[in-house]
Amino acid sequence: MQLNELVRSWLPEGGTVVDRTGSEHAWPPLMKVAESAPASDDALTAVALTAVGDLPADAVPGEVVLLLLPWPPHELPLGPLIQALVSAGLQATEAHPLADTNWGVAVICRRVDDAVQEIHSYLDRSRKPGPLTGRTLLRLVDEHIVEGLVRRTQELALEAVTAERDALRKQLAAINTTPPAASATEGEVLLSSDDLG
Amino acid sequence: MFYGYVGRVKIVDQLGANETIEHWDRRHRQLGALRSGGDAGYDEFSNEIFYAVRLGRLLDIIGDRTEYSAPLRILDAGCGKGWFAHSMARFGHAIDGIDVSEHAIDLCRANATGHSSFHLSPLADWQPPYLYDVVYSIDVLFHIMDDALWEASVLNLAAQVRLGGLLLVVDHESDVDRTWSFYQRTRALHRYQSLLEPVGLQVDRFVPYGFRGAPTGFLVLQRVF
Ligand SMILES: C[S@@+](CC[C@H](N)C(=O)[O-])C[C@H]1O[C@@H](n2cnc3c(N)ncnc32)[C@H](O)[C@@H]1O
Repeated sequence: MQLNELVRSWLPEGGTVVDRTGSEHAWPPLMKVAESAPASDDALTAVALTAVGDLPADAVPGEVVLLLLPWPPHELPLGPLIQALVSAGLQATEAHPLADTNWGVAVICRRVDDAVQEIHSYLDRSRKPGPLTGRTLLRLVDEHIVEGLVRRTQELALEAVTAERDALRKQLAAINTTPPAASATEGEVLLSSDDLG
Repeated sequence: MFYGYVGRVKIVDQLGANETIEHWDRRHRQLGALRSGGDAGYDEFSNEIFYAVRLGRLLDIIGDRTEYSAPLRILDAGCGKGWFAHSMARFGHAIDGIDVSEHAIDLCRANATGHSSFHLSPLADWQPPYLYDVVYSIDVLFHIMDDALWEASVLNLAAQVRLGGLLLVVDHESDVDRTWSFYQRTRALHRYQSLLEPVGLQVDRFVPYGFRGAPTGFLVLQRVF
C-alpha cells in the first residue's frame, strides 16, 4: 500500500496529519498538516521510528497514531515492537507493508485507556469498538495460541518442501550440465530410485 | 428425490444432498457463464448487471481497502464458476473458493488469477488450518433443502471467521421459512441469528440486493467472541 493511500483511507478530506516524523514526506494535498493535535476526531498523529524505543508515550486515550517503521514486514523486531506497543498503551488496529517509502511498514494504533476494555474493529472502522472482556478475550487468547501452533508447524513444513525442491533443482542442474556423451549413464544414476528416496 | 403426500396434498419434491450436487453440476455444464450460477430466469446481459450490482453491495460491506502483499483472506462458499471469487482475487485479496460442482471448480481453476485457490468441498466439510477475515456465501444456503445440512453448513462457515471478521450469508428478508421449489428453501433471518449468536457472531445489518425487487440480500454478521 502507498502511505498516502493509507492516510486518505483514515482521514476525510480536510483532516489533520500531526506530523511528528521529522521527514520531508509530502502528505496528501487535501489534508492539513500540524505540529500538535487539534481538538478534533479527524486527526492522525504520524510518528516515524528508528528504534522501537522511540514510541510515543504521550498519546492521549482515543488518539490515533500512525507508526512508520524502518523494517520490511518480514524483518520486524517483533518482540520489542509488541512490548513497546503494550507499554505505550497502544492497541494496533491494522498493519500494512508500504510500497512507496523508505519506511517498510505502517501500523495504525489507537491509544486506549489503561483498563483496555474495548477492542477496535479492524475491518469496519464505522463500527463501535466491542468490549474486550469475557468470551471476547477468551477468543483472542485461543486464536493466538492455536494459530501460533499452526504457523510454527507450517514454517517447518515449508522449509522441508523448500529443501526438497532445492535438492531436485540441483539434481536437474547436474543432469543438464553433464556432457552429452556421459549424460545417459550419469542421468540414470542420478534418477535411480535410491536418489529419489 | 424426496417425494410424498400428506393426505391428498402432494409435498414438493426436494433435492437430497447428492442430487443437489448432480443438479448443479449439470446446470453449470448446460447454462452460460452467468445464468448457471445467477438467475436462470434472466438472460446473460441481465445477469451481468445482477452480478455487478451484488459485487457493489459486497464491496460496501467488505470495504475497499486492499493489500496484495498482505492480503485479506476470504472464503467464497459455494463459488460456482467463480465470478465473485475472481473479482476478489483481482482486488488483491487471497480467496479460497469451494463448491460441490466439479465442472464449476475445474473452470474456476482454469481461470484463476492472483492469490486464489479452488476446492471441491461441501460447505459443511471445509476446514482449512487457518481463519478467514471474511466468509461469504452467495445464493447457496437457500439451495440446501435439508435443515440439518443447512444448519451444519452455516455453523461450519461461521467457525472459519476470525475475531472481528465478517460472515455474510444470503437469504430472503423474511421472518418465516418457505419452500419454493424442489431446490429452493429460504429460511427466516431469525434462524441464522439464533443459530449464530451463541457461537459469537452478532447480526450487524441486512443489506438487500436491491435488484429488480428481489427480496434477497446479505445478512451481515461480525464475530465478537
Ligand atoms: C446459485 S449458484 C451460486 C454460485 C455463486 N455463488 C454465484 O453467485 O455465482 C449455487 C452454488 O452452490 C453450490 N452448492 C450447492 N450446495 C452446496 C453445498 N452444500 N456445498 C457447496 N456448494 C454447494 C452449487 O454447486 C452452485 O454452484
